[in-house]
Amino acid sequence: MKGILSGLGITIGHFVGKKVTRFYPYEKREMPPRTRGLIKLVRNEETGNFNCEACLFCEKICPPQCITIRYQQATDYRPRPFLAPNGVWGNFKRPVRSLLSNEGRPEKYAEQEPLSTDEAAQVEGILSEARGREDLFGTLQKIQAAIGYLPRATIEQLAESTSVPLSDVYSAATSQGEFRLAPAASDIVLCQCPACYLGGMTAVATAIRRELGQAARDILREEIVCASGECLDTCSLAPVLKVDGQTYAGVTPQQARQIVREKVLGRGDRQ
Amino acid sequence: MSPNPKEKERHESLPPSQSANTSRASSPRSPLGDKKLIMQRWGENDPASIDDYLARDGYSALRFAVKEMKPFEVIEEVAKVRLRGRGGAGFPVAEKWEIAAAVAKAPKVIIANAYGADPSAAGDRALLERNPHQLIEGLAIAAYAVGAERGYIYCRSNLAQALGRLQQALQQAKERGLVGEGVFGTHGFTISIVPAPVAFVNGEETALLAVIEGTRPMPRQRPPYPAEIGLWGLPTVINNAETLANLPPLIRDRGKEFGAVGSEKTKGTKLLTLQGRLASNGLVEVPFGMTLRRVIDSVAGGTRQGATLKAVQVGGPIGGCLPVDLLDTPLDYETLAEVGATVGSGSLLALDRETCMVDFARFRLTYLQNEACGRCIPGRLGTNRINGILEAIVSGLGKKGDLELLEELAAGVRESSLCGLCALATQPLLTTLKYFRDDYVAHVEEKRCPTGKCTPVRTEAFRRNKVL
Repeated sequence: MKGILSGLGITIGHFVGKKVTRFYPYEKREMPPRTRGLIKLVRNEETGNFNCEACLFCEKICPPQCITIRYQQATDYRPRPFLAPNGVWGNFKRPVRSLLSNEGRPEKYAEQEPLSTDEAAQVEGILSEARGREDLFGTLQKIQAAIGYLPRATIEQLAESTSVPLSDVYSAATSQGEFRLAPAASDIVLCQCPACYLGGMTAVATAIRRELGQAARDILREEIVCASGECLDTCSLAPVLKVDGQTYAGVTPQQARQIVREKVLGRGDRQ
Repeated sequence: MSPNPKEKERHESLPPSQSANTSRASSPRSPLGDKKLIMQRWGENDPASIDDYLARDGYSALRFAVKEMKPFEVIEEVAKVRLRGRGGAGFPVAEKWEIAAAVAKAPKVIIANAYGADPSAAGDRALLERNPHQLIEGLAIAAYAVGAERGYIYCRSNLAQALGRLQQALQQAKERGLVGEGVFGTHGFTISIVPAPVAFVNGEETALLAVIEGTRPMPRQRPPYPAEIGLWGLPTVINNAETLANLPPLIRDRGKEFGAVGSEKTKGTKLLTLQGRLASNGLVEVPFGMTLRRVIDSVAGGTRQGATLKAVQVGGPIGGCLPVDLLDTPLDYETLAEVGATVGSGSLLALDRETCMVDFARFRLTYLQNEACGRCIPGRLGTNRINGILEAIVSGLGKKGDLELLEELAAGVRESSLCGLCALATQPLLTTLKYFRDDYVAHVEEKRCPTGKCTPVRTEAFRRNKVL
């Protein structure tokens, strides 16, 4: 009874209240401040550039995926301070590139060298077989296996040909440690299973980091990827490390330093 | 980690310790003898031939289930013997199936998780290499029980041999009409293989869905559970490959042999990977309810010569470290959870006196922090801070109050992480803090390592520059 009366109270209140009918085309409703009726790119009045920063969030969040954004880079990357925090000893998975001095880096990232005709043909073949989302990771793996990294142009081509948004392809390509976005000059993989740990991997890893840290400034324009990888499957020969596809077993810290000096840093001596 | 033609050669010329397809004199002896369930026909069979599998009663369980049993009877059969998921959490399989079978939406999807996120656990990989048909048959039985039409086998892309065997086996099963159109009378069942990239988080069940859907693999919020809304919004059952491999022997004799082994709460067996300082390392099948001490003494043959056991880590990277006086804990989901370990991936790592437990916790946390997907803050920053403090302690830079801070951080990460991986990532830390506190105290207060084995991983200059 009480419920019915209180409900009727609201109805009766509307009988005597203000009228709410609006004559739409003549009277327009006042919109809430954050309404975005029609999306349009707005220019900054002072500089004349678009305010959009191509963060691709709208493309990512759009439920029916009706937004597609194409963009190009307007400025260079910002210089990064030497010995930037986070990139040095803390996170080993990150490439050693943050140790390198800043010269010569921006243009390498902005414009990667075009692929050779042979490589381009291989990529073409892989892209023609790509089916889209369902084998996105498989396609990226094939490209990586064929040419050793995922060039930006190829990622854009892949997004174009499979109509998967570029931001999604990019987020898949950056989610896995095995994908490289730039060619690696050298590839050091340290086994990470407990057997190698018990065999003394910590000392080996520390030695390698020291060796790279001392010499990394001498290698410009080259990247060394040093990652703690999967188990390399040779547990009775621990500790194991793999440098450019070659496996070294039972390594001592001194040997590791020497391997890095000869195989990895030996390449950086070119003038 | 691209598939490399040399990989296979190298694999075959390997010494026996880890490699999955070896059974030499030094491999551990299973306490079950001839009564093994999962590994029943391994070793004597030819994994590359379907005729061989058929000659050994293969696919008879599937035929029996489809011809003689209704789907709900299969679920009842599994509920009767209380089969629990072997993926780590031990959720009852029948309950999961019932939820999915009750959802009216179609088609339904079933996924076999043969990923084996722990790189050093050999169970899933050995199953694919040594008896792939067993997995296909188990998957088909499960699909019949829940009424699924699409099946996926989710495995690692870097294991060339396992992947090759699986593809070959699936091709053979298709040719014989065991999977495909109309195999269950009213509807068909198709299987596809998903080779996934390699990362620890990719084995988590919702991250697994993201990989198949072709998006960035990150776990997502549950509920809704995948059994209701899963792959592309369809009801999806995700079972571990080892769970499914239990089904053919279970249905074949209607659970008699299966119900006879195991503990009170968990029936059946578990594939354990024995590693570390044991007399024999490798894959072995042991019944649930066996104490860890018996596993080490009678199955593995004790510790390696000259090594004294200090701790055992059960359950892979996210498992807890148990001291010697807790070795009488039986191998079971509840009993291990009580003392802070998990069944997890089924790896059992023995550590000897030479191992510093602080450094070991640091080693595990470094791995888990690198592999954290970064979606939730506790997982991304919490594990990073824990790792940073542990690095400092190992390098002799520990401060008073560090241990309390570690406990506080670990409790926070455990409570508030999005998925089990980062919540359980604190287990190696919490168990070593609890059972081996003396090691930590010696590092922090006396600046010395009791084993003398710790290698400094940081310098004083670094600590001044970076506050962790």
